Amino acid sequence: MTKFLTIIGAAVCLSLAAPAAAQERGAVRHDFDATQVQGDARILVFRPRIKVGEQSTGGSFEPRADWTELARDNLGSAIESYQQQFGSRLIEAPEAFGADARLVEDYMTLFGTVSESIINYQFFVGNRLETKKADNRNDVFDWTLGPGVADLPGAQDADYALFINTEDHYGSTGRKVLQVFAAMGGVSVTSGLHAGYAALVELKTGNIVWVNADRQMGGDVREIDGAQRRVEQLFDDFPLVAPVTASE
Amino acid sequence: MRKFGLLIAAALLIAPGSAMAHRLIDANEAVTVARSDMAVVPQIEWNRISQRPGSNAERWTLDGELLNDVLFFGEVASGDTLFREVNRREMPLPQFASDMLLVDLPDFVESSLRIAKGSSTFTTTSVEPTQFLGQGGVRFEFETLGSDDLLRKGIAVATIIDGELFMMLYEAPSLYFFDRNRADFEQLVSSAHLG
Repeated sequence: MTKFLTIIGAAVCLSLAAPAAAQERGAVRHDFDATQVQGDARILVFRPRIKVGEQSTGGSFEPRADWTELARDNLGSAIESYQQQFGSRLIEAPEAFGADARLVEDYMTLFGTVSESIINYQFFVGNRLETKKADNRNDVFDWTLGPGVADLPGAQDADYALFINTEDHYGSTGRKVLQVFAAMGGVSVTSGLHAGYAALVELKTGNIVWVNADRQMGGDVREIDGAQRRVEQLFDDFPLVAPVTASE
Repeated sequence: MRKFGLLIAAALLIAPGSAMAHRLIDANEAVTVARSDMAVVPQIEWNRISQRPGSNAERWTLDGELLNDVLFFGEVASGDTLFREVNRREMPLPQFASDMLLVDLPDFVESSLRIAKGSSTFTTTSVEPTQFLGQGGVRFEFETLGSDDLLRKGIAVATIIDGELFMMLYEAPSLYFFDRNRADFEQLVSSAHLG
């Protein structure tokens, strides 16, 4: 019996440890030279796509306009102060209207979906696609939004674009109660989703040259400190180095 | 050694489902699909996703099903659904009926995709007769807005043989991805035959 319990215990450890150990959160394109974005390279920053809401007891997402507004203010300020250290190399994308605005929205959505695929089939090592395994053995990271990004408003004046998406589902009281009762019954029910994706995209090709993507990021974006923490996580290992000021 | 074997077996039993390996589909080799006699000969390598979308279905992709989704359905009989039920009580999937006509298939596919993939809009943009598996069939194209708010385009080619449905379907984001692999899907369709 002891032996049996040891085996089950070890198996449980293996099962729990594998995904956690295998999960990656960031990547850099194989042929990307970070020095390319230093110096005169100009990076176009699109308005982040931010969604915040409540996760119902049944697990469905119910958007909350008040929380989204708070998150937009908090993340906006945190990103702005982060941007300031890079001076004029990070430039705001021009305000877009009509067809241009739709194109930006469509690419922000595509970026979110490509990020989901990167998490599912690249960052979760045990779930990688067979056709990409040879690439991975050779440290090739090859994901793209396609060369159509060159048509985005403002792209003609920049070399790269910075895309940021965040989506937060805060578990409702009912969901949290369900989680506790389910755990007592030995069933796993997740409560909340805190996804954040940030990427630098080469505007000539659409290739993702740097990306951070995680479905369980930290920081409550409804609070100033939390948003600051989220932005730090989103920009973790960002390849652009802040210029050294004269006083330093 | 026996203990080690038990350990591995126990670990495999409770390992997460998504960790099951996806299978490589080799180029230039005939392969039967969707647990049926339908076979195709791909000219490029594909990945077969380990989890079947339905009992008579099979899913291939290059970058993940959200970015390029090729679905095969073979020998779908009367009473069968295309996909696994999502919520049988509140949103049951439509069932195929052997007396369906080819012209009924676009509506049948639309209803199935709306439930199985959570498509919020679905517009059939063209329907035309075609030859598929050596039989008269139907080809239709569509546009759909997914639950992720992304506009996708799709093509389906289908025929009914002895009351059973055979179909191949391709769906990808309209931005970049659909056009990039459209020719690869058309090549699969033109190579399809009954083994």
